[in-house]
Amino acid sequence: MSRNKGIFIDQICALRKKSLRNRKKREANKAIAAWIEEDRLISGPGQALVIIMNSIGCEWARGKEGGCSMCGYSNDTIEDITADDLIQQIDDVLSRFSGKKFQAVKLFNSGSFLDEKEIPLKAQEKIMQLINSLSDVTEIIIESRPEYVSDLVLQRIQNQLQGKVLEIGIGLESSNDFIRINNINKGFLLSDFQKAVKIAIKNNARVKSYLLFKPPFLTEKEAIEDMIHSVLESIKAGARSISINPLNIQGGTLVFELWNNNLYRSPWFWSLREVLQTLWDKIKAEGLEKNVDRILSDPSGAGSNRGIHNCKLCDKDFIKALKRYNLSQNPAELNINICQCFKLWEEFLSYEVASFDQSLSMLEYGKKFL
Amino acid sequence: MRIQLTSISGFAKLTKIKDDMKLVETPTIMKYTKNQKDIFWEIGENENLFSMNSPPSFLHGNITNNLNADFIFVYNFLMQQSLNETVLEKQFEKAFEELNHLKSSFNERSVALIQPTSSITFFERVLNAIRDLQISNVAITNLLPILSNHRKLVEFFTKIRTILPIDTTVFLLSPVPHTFMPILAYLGVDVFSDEYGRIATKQSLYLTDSNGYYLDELKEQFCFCAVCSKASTTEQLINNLQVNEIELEKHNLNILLKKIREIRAALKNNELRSFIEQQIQTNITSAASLRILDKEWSKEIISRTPTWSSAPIKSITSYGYYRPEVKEFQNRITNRFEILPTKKVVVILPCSARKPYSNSQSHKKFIEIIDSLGKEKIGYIQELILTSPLGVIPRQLENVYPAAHYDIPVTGDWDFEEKEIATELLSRTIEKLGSDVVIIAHVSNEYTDLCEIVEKKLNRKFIYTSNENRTTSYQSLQCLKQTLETSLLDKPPIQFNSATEKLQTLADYQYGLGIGKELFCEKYSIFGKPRLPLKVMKNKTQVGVIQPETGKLTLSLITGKILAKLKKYYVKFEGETIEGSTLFAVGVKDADQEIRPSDDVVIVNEKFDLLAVGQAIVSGKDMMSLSKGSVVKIRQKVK
Repeated sequence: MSRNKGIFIDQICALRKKSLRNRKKREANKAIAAWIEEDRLISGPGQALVIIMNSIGCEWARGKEGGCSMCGYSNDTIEDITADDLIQQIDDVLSRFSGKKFQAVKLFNSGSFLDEKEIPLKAQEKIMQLINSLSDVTEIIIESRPEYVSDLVLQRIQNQLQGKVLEIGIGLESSNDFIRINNINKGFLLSDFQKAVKIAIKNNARVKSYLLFKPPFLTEKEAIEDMIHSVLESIKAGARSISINPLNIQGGTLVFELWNNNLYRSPWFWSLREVLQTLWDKIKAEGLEKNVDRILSDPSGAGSNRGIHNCKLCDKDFIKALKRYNLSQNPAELNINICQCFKLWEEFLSYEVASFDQSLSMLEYGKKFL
Repeated sequence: MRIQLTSISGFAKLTKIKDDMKLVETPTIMKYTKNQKDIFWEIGENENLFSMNSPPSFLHGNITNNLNADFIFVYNFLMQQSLNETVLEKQFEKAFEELNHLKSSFNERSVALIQPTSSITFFERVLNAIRDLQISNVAITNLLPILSNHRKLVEFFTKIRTILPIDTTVFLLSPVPHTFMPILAYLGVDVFSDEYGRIATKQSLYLTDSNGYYLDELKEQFCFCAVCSKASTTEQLINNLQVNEIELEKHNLNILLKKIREIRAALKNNELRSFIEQQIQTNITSAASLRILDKEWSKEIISRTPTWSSAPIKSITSYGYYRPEVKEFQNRITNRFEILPTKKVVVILPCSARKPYSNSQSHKKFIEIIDSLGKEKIGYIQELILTSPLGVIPRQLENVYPAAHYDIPVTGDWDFEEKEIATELLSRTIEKLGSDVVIIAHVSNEYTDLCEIVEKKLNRKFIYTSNENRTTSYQSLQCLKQTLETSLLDKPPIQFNSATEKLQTLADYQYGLGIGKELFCEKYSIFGKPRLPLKVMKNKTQVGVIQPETGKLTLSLITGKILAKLKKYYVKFEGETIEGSTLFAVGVKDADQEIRPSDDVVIVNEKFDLLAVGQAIVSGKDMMSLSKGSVVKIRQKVK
């Protein structure tokens, strides 16, 4: 497994140390959050129970590598936690939602579910057993970095699950090694991801490729191109589900520092639309339709300054359109009325290439600068 | 392609970018444009445009392949403001190594992309590297985050302008509103992007000279450019522009272009500073930046502000007090002017609106009184004119720039700063005088207050000769006359040559205290008709000229020879014989650091023998740091 150091590693480490010191104290036996949402499941539209677990957090972020440039999930973690705490978190959520209908469970633990240091074996097995006992549930989604995806680990998980589909979300973020290593500080290579996908498939699990839309230090245009490329590469590697995650600003990260200095803007909805519409055409052109089940985008912080946004006038329409797209998987859903900000987006797209100016968002209300 | 520096004013300059076919004058504008493959820049305002490629992303290797452009980006330095120094330094080491290998390929077409960064020492490192690598141009991006931070803004540009050679072309890629262009030009931007005009258009913003209105908020039509004059009513104009975005864009770009042309015209007329003082009135950051620049970087700005000009100075706001020309005049009065030991009476006089003062009605009367004392006594009298914001002007220097060129709105109210300046200057000028020197204050009203402050400060009594608050009344003038006569009653007759004294004072002012006596050690006379150069004669030989419009004494070979031996205002030439009428930077071996643009200088050889006299185009410091271009206009050579 490769552990490549990105060029921003020193600063990311320093920021991480600081933010870990300042993280909020939480109860170890309580999940951070849980809710039911409408989602496009593998089997089609349905309900999913989302559980954000409290854990010690991602090893990559805790360690000397400092974690990823955009990730602030380590803020929602705890220093000490036992396997029993983790089991109790799930038990507690499941009993709270026992009367509700859902066909999928998504487990997020701000790190890798398959890493024994984060989720001890005992907890991994017990949690799977608990979910396995829910008869309506057909899909289970967990997340992990590729280095923890191994035959042994997957066999143990699969042993607890009977007839349920296991999907592992892996944050490839970008298929470009330079961008993943440097702009994101993710540490691993595309080849590591490809290996992990193979192991997953061999063990009857599916892979959902998590991709980061607009890593820092890219122009909006580069980000669009990178995303299209990354989706295609993910599908080719064997990931049947794709999740496009427009970057949202999280505290204590390098991206937060850039954003705070007006040197980073979360992507535009127009860019996401461009990605999705171009993408489906390309997938058809390359004959990859059969290899992909769904390309989703459920952005955090959508419509706010910290998340994907256009302008105040059309953000709400876009959020609705994106929901419709997620369920139907039809990119034509994104053809909302062209807002005045569309022309500005087009202008910025080209101008950013010409100038490499990453503070253009300051001119979205240009009059105030006069 | 060549870049030729024409003139300089503060950190701003006028240049010509030339090749066999094209000519573009800076400051100018640039716009981005697209073809099928690339996005690139076009620099200039008409058809003859120079091109520049778009900067490389730091991801995809930095050296670009597009060699078809006139200006070519060679690097995009990683220096974003949020990044810490350790990260930046590490990347910079790599970059520098990579660039150092390519050093020989860099030329006047090379451009480096830079931006504001968090550490000033790191910024200096980058700039020093750009200078050492001989990358001749810089382009700036990500300026918007510091655009409203006047301190950072001024520091950023001052570093660029003091570390990189003055002929470095500075391109500003960040889209800035036209209201910022004057101060940014003064800080040293040579080429501005017109993008703000396009962005404003996309937001239905209709730009005006000093502001902008959303089309639906436009109350009156006040532009009559080709676009706007098509409409006959405001409503019609708004309707036209709402449906036709291209027209709105044309109008907005006109507004930007107009601003650029105003800046360029001001530079050509030597009036940039006055123009800036007007323009900052509508933009807070610009105003704050000018204040910071004047207070904290005045030395750097002064060294690049021409000493001599004929342009009038209208000092209307307090910014005028800190104008580089004003500060430098005050410096010179303090350091290069001394009241001669032969002077036994100092007469302090009020200023007049008319310049030079001796042409005014009031001063004609004062001079008449003073002259009436007779040839044998005049030599004892030193006249000092008290004024704002220059402070004190000795009569001998009333013709020099800016003493004869400034104008203020005279209402009789002096503000606190003006009083401070005037009293400080007056104290400095007279504080060393012996107790036997009589000080007569022939002043009234607010001038009297000033004199009283100085009396207290120096613990010295003045004699006030003006009654009823009118300095020109018969009584006051008679009182002045009697006081002068009484004061000089027991003084023996004294030799006095007004022209010689004037020349010596002027030469001191130009070249340093004591130089006047060396340059003009005999008896001289000054002849001339109004508005024509005044001839400086020694017996029947002409030894120099005083320019009537600036008051500057120009050097002749005779005075030049003396100045050369004194090693003052010299430019040391690498060689023995100079060809042509221009001295180029490559020929300069050494230069007096006191030289400022427009100063008269001597060109000397290794042994300080005079080779030629001429007028400096750039400062002595810049002569040393420039590697190409003209630095001295030669007027006369030793045969």
